[in-house]
Amino acid sequence: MPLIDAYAELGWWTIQNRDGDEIAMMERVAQRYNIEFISVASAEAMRGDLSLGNRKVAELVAQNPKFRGYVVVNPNHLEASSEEMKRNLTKGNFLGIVLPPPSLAHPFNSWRTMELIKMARRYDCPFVAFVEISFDAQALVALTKSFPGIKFLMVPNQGSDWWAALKIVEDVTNISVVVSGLLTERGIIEQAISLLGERRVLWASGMTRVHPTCSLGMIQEAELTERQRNMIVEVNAKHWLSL
Amino acid sequence: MAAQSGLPIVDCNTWVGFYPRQAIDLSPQVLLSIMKRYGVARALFVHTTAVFYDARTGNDLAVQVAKESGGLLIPVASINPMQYRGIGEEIDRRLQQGFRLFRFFPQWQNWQPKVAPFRELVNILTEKGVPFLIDCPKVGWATEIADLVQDKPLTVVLSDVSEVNMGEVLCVVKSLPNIYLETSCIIQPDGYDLVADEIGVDKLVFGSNAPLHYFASALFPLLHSALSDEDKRKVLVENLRRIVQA
Repeated sequence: MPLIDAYAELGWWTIQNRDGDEIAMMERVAQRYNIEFISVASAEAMRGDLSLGNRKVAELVAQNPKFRGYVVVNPNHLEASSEEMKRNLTKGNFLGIVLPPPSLAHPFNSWRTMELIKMARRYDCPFVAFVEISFDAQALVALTKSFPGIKFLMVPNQGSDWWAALKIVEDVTNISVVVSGLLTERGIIEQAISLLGERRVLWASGMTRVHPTCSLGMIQEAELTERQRNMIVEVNAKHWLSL
Repeated sequence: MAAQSGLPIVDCNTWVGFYPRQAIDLSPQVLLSIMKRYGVARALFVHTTAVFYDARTGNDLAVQVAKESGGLLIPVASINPMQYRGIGEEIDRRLQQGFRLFRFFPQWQNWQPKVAPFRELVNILTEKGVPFLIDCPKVGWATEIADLVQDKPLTVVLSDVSEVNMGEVLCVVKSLPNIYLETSCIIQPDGYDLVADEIGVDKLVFGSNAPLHYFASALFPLLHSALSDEDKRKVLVENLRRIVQA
């Protein structure tokens, strides 16, 4: 079964990463685990230079059909973000937009983030939103009420209160969630399926911060049906990301 | 991916009991079923009651659970140094019952490794020659622990290390021969190679945090690492055996 990775990061910055070619590493991983597409955003754009990081992703997805891109935006740089969206989202190999974690920028229901979403509406693509504390999930729900037509993919960070976050977004059908090795609490996958249903849970490798073997091991260990596993690792991403 | 490694596994970081922070089933039955699935020979566990409520009550419950497991679950005693009164007696009681290891949880009990009661506790454990694990997720704590034990013939395993303090922990483990690293923080196969290059494979002790976390998320990065089978065996069982038997 081919896998579709709903979220990975280009960026070689954590202590557990080896020096060397990160793209070659991702390609090796894709081959080993039969990953058809890796959806990738730039860690550099999120934490460093917005344009430079997005440009590296644009170059990667233009050259390598295994990768699809997310454009990273920054609520502190509305004009630059608008330019980044305009430059990249008109290309077929970009899937959506990544909002940086609120701890790096602003809450999801802040004026700045709302302005960004307004600018992005014309591109009709999903957003990736990191949720670190349950307040972030509440803010995300508030945001979806202002923009009911936009889809959001909620991604955990290490230490997130994901149990509460899942409950908060349970009934908000334009929010999907990812299973990632960044959050390994046992039962969290089963809880996501139980609350959100089997169509709103996607697999994200979390590369290069975390190796896909963590999350694939979790999915293997979780008490799921084979159909649910297939939905998580492939089918739902096709629908959600319009692949 | 293979469910079992084919290698012997002893897990130094597991839990049993009611978990007040989330609705996660930490019953002995769940832990035993995970062990069976992945071929884990023994699991060293703490009872949640000892961590989140009262050490004596929790350690008593741990003894009971261990007895009922037929020797598969090995209890690790925990003490909150902030309770202070009677900690020497509690250590003695548990040693008489056969406990070989202690574990401490400053993060969950709101204390820091540099506090005086913990220093006193470390002195007692040094006199008795009892190794301990200590959760170390915060920046600065590994350095404080190193300061406490650097001149002592006492073995310490740092567990629950986080991404933010991994560099500090590697520095500390590398610099002192009696400090080890529990592996649940290593989430990349390459991470094993890097950490082993830095501190030596003899300093790594396998722990999963199960059933609190998916066991596979801790085991698979090790199995997929480039470490030799001999080195994996050291991480999975031999290093811990050496610590406990010493």
